Amino acid sequence: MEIIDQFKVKFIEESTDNINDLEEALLLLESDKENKELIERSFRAMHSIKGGGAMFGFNKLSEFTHHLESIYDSVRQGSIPISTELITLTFSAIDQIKLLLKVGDNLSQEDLVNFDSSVKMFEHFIEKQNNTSTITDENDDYEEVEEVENITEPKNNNNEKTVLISFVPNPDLLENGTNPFFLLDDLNNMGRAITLAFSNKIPNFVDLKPVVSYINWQILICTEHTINELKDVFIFVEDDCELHIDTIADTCIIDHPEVKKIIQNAQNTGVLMTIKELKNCTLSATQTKTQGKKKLAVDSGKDHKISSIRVSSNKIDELVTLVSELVITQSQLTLYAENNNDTTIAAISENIQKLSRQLRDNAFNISLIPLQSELMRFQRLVRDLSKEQDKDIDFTIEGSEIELDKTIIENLTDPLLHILRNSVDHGIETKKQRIAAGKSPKGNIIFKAFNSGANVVIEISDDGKGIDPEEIRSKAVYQGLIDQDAKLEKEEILELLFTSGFSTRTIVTDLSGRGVGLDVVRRKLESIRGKATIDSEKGKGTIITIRLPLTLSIIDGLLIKVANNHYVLPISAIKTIYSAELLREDNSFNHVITIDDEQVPYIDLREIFQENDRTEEDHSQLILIKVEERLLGIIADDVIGEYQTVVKPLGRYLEKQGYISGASILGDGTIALVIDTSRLFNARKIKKEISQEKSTSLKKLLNA
Amino acid sequence: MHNQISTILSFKIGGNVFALDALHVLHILEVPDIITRIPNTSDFMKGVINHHGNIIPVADMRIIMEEEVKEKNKEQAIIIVNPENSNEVRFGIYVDMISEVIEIKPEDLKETVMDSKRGMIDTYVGTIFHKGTFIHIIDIMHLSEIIDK
Repeated sequence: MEIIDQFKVKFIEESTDNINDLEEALLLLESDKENKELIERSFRAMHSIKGGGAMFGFNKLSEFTHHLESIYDSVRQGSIPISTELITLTFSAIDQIKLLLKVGDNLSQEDLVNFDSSVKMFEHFIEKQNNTSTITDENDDYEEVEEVENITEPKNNNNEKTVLISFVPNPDLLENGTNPFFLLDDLNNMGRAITLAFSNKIPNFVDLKPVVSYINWQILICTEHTINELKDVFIFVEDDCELHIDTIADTCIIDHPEVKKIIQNAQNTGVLMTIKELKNCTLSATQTKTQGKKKLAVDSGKDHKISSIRVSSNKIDELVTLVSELVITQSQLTLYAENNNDTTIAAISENIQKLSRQLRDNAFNISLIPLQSELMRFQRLVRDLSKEQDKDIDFTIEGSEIELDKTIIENLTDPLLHILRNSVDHGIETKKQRIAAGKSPKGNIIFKAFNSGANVVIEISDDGKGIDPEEIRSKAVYQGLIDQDAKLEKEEILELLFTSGFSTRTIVTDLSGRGVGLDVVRRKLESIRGKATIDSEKGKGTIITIRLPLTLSIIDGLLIKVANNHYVLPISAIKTIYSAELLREDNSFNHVITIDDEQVPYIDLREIFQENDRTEEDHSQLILIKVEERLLGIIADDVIGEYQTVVKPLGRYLEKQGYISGASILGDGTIALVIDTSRLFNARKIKKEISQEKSTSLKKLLNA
Repeated sequence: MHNQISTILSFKIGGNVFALDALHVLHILEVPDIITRIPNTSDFMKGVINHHGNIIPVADMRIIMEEEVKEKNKEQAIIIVNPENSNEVRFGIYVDMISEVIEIKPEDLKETVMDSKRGMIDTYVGTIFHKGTFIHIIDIMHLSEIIDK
């Protein structure tokens, strides 16, 4: 990769962060329109995108963001108020920015039209604002005049003031391609400035490194510009330097003889000028003694400690893989020590085990990221959709700090977006309907994430119109999915929403749209070992619950044997292990066994895995598993024991087979296959469906 | 378009000699004692093996080419290939015997004519005549598609 490309990638990454930041600030602004800090934050994000864009050849992006930025500059100065209209406009602009970030300057014809119309929208907006805001502007001026009158001291014309800027670059400033002279030039253009360079840090020529920045500057500037505008000059280097900008006086004091003396002194001694000495000498001429202090407080708010670092995800993946290998090798060592009765090695191996467990836990922790990163998109979706459909929706998020594996989060976004879209589109009613139903006109959608054992649970609930089970039932009968007389519990009916036959288009339009692609949602979640369930009460609302594993790659398992193969069952799914004698009694019939007065279906793994039938000599054991409140008995040959294991993917070529979600390498190097328990339930369902199909086709025959 | 193939690895399946582009060959292994069978997969999918901690699926070329599946012997081998040059996508093929590595010139490559269509592979990169035998060069992407099905 060329260096410039690397920078581009970095820029895109950073801009994405900036966009996220901007979106977050905007969403907050919407409820707190006066918040100056949020406006500043939005502005800063835009400014960074604009500046970076121009630097890395995203000219369209830079041009576009410039328009946006100028609006927010006016907002910053208070001449344009934040309005819902402006926020909506900004959101659409953000989408445009995202696109520009993706395609760069190579816009298609269609995109170009969009681009131009967006720019027009801005221009139109500014025009409109200017028309309405001239009046307020005059008011502002008037107030200011009053203020000046209140202060008896005559004030210098044009708000000119003197500002001391201390600019101490970090040694690596130059490495980022920054030329400090440009910054100084910018300052010189903003007013009358005296620039002092302090070169006493420059080492002997022998020790001089040309890439290191040694010089500090102090600039005394007489300017009409605000502190913020001065600060903007340094916007790209603020993290690479120590910067202090302080108002010294409300007048231009550069020509003051005392000040000149101080400047002379500083130049001779190489000691930085202090605010105090400058202020002292002008005390008589200024009124605002506290102002400098105030600004300082604002400045210090901007200082932040870096609490996280950006690491490429490849490096983390590699670390996790290596740690997994270590865990496997370690268990081989333990096995060796056991087999050879070597107590010394056994003791060492135990220590290694402790360490490698800790290391493993740490490494996995690193690969966890908080849900937070994706939540912005959800808020955006709910906001945009509700505005579009003129619904009033309160979207609450709880548990944004919950952490999940990166791969899980990546695969989680689409299903969640889908569910939220359903909630807004079909769950929450229009304001009128809500009032008619005796509810508050404002709808609620609650997104809640929390830890539950080794799982993370996400609940998305709305207080909308809910789902009518009868309606689904009749549709399902019409579709031939269930029998006319089939007796189904409410849960079973709602479960139908997840079956793939159900969510076809014709039904969607008939049935108020609920169930759109929920089968896709479920399948997608299953691919990350997640599980979705739905509960709904007609007229009251719907709740969708998603259960996810914390991480995909480690499970506590039970090692079992079927024919010649070893398999691992996740311990979390196992309820009880019974002796197979239970089966020999006459309490089992047609793949259903009675355990503690409860009828439990069971399957034989030999049958499911297409192995030879069990002979008399083979052992067999019954394992009762419980997944999502459903019980299933499975028959295996042998139960070997508990086993903590690193799950490895089977790879692309084995994705399509039925019941195995991964493989794990045992201590002796052989492979055990990890069984996906939720798919075992499907095995039963498939069977049921086949037999049902048979009966329906029989019925059809009889009817004909 | 396949002119870039300059080195091939040839191997025997039944009575015929086939070859693969050597650039896609990662390792040649002895057949391990245990190949873990995966339930509910195609007949040719022998199972998975543990290769340096990675799980690699192994396809039996003798079933793909509809040849007789002989008892395991010392000459048989597993060739691990990566059709897309990525570590994520790898598989092994079970062959009867590894023959040799051959440098080929583009002009040696002739269109493949098989006496009768055998097995699941119906397109080849081409055939060369080398030391008195015809060697059919298998298109690795085509093979990958077959196994992926």
